Amino acid sequence: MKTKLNGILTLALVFAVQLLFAQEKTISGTVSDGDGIPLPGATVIVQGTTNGVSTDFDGKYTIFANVGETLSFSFIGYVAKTVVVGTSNTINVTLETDSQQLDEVIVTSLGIKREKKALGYAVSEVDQSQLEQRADGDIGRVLSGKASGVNITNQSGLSGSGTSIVIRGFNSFSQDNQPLFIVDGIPFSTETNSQGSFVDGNNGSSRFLDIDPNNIENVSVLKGLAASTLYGTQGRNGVILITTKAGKTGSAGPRKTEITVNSSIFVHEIASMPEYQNDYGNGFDQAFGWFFSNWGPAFRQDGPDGWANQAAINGTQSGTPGFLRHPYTTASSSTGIPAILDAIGIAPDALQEWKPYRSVENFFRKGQVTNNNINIRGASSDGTVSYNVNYGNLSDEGFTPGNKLTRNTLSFGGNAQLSNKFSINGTLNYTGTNFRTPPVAANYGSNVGGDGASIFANLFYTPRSVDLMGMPYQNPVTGESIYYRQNNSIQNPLWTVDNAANIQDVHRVFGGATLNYNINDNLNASYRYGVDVYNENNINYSNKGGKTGSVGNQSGQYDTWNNVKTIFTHNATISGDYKLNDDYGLTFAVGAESRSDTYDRNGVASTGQQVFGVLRHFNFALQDEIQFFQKRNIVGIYGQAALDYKSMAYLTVAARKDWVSNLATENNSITYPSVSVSFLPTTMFDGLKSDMVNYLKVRAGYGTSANFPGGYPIASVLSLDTQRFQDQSGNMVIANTSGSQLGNSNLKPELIGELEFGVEGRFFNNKLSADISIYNKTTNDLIISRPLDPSTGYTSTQTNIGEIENKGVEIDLGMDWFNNPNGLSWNTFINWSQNDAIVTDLGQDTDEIVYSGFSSLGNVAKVGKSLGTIVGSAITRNENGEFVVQSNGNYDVTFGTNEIGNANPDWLLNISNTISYKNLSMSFLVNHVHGGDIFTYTVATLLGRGMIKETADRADSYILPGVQADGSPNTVMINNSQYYFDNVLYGPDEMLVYDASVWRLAEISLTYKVPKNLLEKTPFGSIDFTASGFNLWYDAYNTPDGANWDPNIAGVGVGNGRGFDYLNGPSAKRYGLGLKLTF
Amino acid sequence: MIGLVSFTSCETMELELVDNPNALSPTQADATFFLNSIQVEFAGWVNSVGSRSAALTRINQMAGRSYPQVYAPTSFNGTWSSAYRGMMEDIRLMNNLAEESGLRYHIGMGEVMKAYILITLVDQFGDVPFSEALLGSENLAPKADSGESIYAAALDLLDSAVTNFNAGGPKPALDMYYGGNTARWIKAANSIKKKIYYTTGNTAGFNGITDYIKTEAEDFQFKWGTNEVQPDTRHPSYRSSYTATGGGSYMSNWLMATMLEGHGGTKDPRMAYYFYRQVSATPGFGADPNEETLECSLQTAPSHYLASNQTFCGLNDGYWGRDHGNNNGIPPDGFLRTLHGVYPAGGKFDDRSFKGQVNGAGEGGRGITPIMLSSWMDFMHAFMNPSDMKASTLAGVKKSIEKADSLGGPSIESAEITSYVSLFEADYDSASASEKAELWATQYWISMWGNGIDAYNTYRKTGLPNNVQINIEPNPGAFPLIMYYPDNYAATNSNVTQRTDLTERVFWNASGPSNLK
Repeated sequence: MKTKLNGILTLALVFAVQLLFAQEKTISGTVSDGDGIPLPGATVIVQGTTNGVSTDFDGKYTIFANVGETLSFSFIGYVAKTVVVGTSNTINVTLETDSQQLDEVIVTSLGIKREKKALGYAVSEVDQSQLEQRADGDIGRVLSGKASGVNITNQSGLSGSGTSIVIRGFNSFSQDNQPLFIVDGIPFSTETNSQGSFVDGNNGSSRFLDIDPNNIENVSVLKGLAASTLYGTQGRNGVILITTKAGKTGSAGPRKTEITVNSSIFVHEIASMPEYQNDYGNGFDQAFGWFFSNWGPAFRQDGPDGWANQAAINGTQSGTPGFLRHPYTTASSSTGIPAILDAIGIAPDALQEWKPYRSVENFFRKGQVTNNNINIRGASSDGTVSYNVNYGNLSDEGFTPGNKLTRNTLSFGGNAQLSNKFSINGTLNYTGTNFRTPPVAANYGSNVGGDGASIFANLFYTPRSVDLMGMPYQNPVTGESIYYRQNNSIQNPLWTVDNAANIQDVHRVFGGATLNYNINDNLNASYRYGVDVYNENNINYSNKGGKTGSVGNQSGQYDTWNNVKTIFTHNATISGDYKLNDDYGLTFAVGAESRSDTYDRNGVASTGQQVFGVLRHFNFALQDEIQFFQKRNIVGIYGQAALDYKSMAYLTVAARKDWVSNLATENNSITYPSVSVSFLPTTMFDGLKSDMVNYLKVRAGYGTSANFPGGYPIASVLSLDTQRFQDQSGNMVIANTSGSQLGNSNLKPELIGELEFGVEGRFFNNKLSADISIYNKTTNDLIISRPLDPSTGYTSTQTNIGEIENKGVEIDLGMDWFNNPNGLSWNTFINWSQNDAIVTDLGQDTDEIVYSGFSSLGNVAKVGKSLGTIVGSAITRNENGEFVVQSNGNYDVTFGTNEIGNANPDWLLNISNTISYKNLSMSFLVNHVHGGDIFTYTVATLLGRGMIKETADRADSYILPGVQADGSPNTVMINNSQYYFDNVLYGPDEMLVYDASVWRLAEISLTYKVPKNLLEKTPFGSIDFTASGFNLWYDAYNTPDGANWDPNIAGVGVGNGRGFDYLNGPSAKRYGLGLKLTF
Repeated sequence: MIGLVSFTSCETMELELVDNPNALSPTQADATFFLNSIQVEFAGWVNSVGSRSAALTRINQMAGRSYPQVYAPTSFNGTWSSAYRGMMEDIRLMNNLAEESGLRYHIGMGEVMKAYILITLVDQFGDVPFSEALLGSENLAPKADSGESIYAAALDLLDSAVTNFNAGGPKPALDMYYGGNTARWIKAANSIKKKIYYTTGNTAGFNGITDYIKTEAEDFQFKWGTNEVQPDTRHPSYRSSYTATGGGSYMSNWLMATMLEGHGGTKDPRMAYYFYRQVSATPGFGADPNEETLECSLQTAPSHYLASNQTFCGLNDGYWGRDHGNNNGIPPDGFLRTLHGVYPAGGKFDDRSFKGQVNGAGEGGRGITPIMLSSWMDFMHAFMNPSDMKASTLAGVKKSIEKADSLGGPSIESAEITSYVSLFEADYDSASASEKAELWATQYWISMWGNGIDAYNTYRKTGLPNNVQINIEPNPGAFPLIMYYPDNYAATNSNVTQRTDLTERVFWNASGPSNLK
């Protein structure tokens, strides 16, 4: 490739020399757009020659040409124009924007702008109109449904909770699969630093939350590897290229200062409120009791399940039929509750009516979201200096009490033409984000699963007869939680709201500067320095007196720590743009990049609170350290060359080599190339272009990328515990133990290769557009954290033995049904995508690897199976495949890693429509996830504890389909609670798996633009009013109606685990009003 | 191209950052720190395997209706990785360091513990990796050795341990088992050898060892502490029994019923030490039935219970446990159900106060995990020497009762002990030969409160005691004669295939009974 490049360069030199000797008439002029704004950088060529120039910063050009020759003026994004040279020495040209946008300009890797038709790979674009005034401040969620092949999952509906983005499937199951974010050319850290594991609470924002969607000019999603090769290993999972308004200052030219104000207010509600039944209350098997379950007697008096049969309710114990003794008056004395009845205002003979209370419904609130953004942009009168200032403020109150997100963003961007040779541009952003939520952690249908607490763990199955909102929740003497259960073994959700929280307070500065030097008209050198630093100040606390989790948590817990993350990048590039002759053009870029990532965590964990409620470390008996450090450097060199032929055929070749700091020297580098072609049959073959077929493009690309492991994978370690035990005299016993990971110095990078084909076209007078991609992506030498048989002395090692193949299809369709700017317009966009990642190799010694969740219930990698396959315990089948039922009528369970589902959806569909009539427009986005399974404790718990309408018919009896151990058909009848509690909730894991298909009205909005003529006498340039709603309706139609459950949840957090819901995430809906002003 | 690259910062170019700053490197290891880790890990491991074995043999309550379900492969992952990665690998690494420094006492302790671990692994899983184990990257799929050869290797390890203890030299700063008493370690090593001979039925080998654990002071046991957090040093059973919201596990109705029945109309004097009752009467058994707190108090026993005349649901006098296999939902009975007592969990002595207990109560968790007790040696001796059967059984009962008050609560008067032993003796004397064996086994099991490893072995060897409570589930699956291989062994090691059922026999049990329940 090098030789070829040299040849081309030589050729270019020859042409340049020719240019110097051309001696003709001098023609000059200005090239401007339809609004009269000069177009710098437009190309002026004397047709049939190699004579060509670019316009300068003011759109001016000077060229030598003979009379009668034809000048061709072109600028990407505009319709090219030709003018025959006449007598005049001045030719001013106005180029019209290409309304069909056939020559749409796309930001590609390293910020290189290219015409979309030249690209041999798929790129999706999302512009600001699809990003502004969203009720969700999270750019990840706002992008949901806007680009094909991009799968976005909310961790939960909490404001500020994490978001997972996966582009074109999982490349790896042991390494990160989240895409690279590049903001204004600078790598941007997006990790989700959860507090604790998914069992012990996984609250934490995904750090792309620090970007205000209102401040974004546009987003390009580079999906394939051919598109992202230049980004090196960081780009292997796709790249989300964000240009902020501050970063957009590159397009210069004198203009008046423009101020844009976006302001919106929304109501924020829980979307997934179950539909509870109101016929039965607390108890089990139609008998009353202070259980977790709601299988108790009916709220009516008579009948076999009426409360008249219950001594606790029929007046025998309380003295008043239809009333219970208040649970606090009968609590075990060891709970301390009977002793404080007076203090909490409960009389010793207090009663509670036996009736349904709307406890869960009343627990949640309507939050308020306000989102304000002001943007000021302008330029100096000569157009050499332009600037942009943006300030945004988001205040997002969650529907869960205690949950709130606030964010302030401030950004500056500027661009200055220092001389004809030098220009500089830069951005600087500050973000302050504060996220607060009550603790949320995994729950298995009964209290919290881990060491802490969880706000939802005890809430959703609050028995209907328990008056959560009407009971005191705190012991006024000790401060501890009190609740209805007689041994006080449930932490009151209201207590949790008041006394426990996870907080992340982030201060972040990011930005960079680019210095450009125009070596000549064709060659440009640039150097870019980028910095991204955040300090994530975490607090996790619970006052003493909680009733769940570890002893430490109950004694009062206070953990504070800072995560300081820094990314420094240096990047130097030389790029060239040569018109080789009439037919051939060449652009190229060569460069080098270094990137350093540091993650430094420091803090203190305290337990044993002394004075209730005081959250300072001095107020805690014990302190423990929190410390973790990780640093990794990557250095890369790269090159790219693109050749175009007559604007109808394009070839791009690129390669990059990376070195990484955490592997052994002999394995720490890898080189990977890419090649892509694009050609336009409609341009190439004259007869092809017609009213039916306006434009056709065929493309193909092969791209590669590498993946380096994180952390310190080749080091063997020794663990030291200075508090392993205490001897009889109370001295700490210090212990060291061998590390569980076997270091592997032979570890090398993964190599990912992707073959991609695509067709793009426009048909029927450009009314219909289509863009179809198919790809096949293979990860070789997959880095696997391979579990080892502990009898080797280790429990895992990182090794390169796997292979994953991703195959997928993406289809984007657009239809302009009507297009009348002064009347009715209606367009529809549809994107459809399908991806399946199949594990094709795991090496000789490994059958399967459970890589997420629990070892016996999680996602498995197994040869021939889809990544995302869920394994767990299953209903036992006999040799005929029939279900085996135990003698008690319950399913027999086969333990181990049985395949019980596949979380990978069959396909994703997004349909958006915009209908506008004059100044009014309405748009909506509907999406559909088809297929994909999810294991859900939310649904299982609501059924298993007799909460929702599906369980209301208590006279039902069930005979599970299947056979007894002896092969005879099962005839054992079981009742409602035995079916739902013993089999659905606490039976085989398989029973908790549902198809997660869902239809969703993701967005709907109605916008009114105040007519221009009404604004003429006002300072306003435009005024838009918008009413919008998000996630207003959804239907997971293969799950029980009464659960009203939303499968858009990542119960094991942002990572590689999929298809799990541990009662940790109700979903949100928002609706409200927005106003956009420019002046 | 090189000329293009000009970086202002070398910091971002450093390409050798391979050492993990978040842990020590293996070269910084310390033999004594290894030994500390091994000692603590060993106690937890024995306690865990011991309590799972005890649940299988009704000493503890088993919550789960089918055996394959309760003893599923994944449930042994911790047992497996703690044994190999957690302890035996550390022993190997410690020995490398200890040999350089002549720390033979360290090595001896490691050998005793390793021998116990190995034979216990064989007892539970049959053939397991040994000769090819712990080779790291040299062998990622160690093949199993026969259980018999591992037993033989364990005997060698114990002999070597005795030699090392006898060699003198520096003692470790912390010996959590015998406080630096070499003679007692030798007795412990010899006692484990005797256990091996007992298990394998080698009478000559058994009787050939005379220097073994004979008194309470020599008992091989681990002492837990009272610290709740950072670290939690309390007895594991205490942690689950004494919480802010009451008891977290149920006691076995069979064990409580057996001890309540006692001998000669007197209940077992160990009961007040073994169990703490939070109430004086259980619903349906001296108190009104209560569906809310004890659902079965309103139910009749299932037919298979009635047919075999089993204890069902509850007991008199406030002993509130659960039947074998019962896994019903949990009612709010945390302050009602019977808790672990003062022995061996370090809980509360049953002083008939009948109050709900929370964490911190009683001895605060300052309990023990018995590994080899002098009483057990007597019971084994009784079995191996039929002529001494009665005398040794009586000695075992006496020592076991004496042991019960060692952790707290009032001392048991020697008169009371003598009296109860003679009541037992009367029953024993009037019993048939098979009943005598039943009495022996029952007493042996009662003495194993706190560690059922040997109960599981003995049950498989002898089928005794025969009167154990059957599973509340009529079809719980065959009683496991062996355990599934741990999932983290079977799924990761290409040289092992998971067994399909639990009917395989451990090598020493080839001719054991088949009618286990």
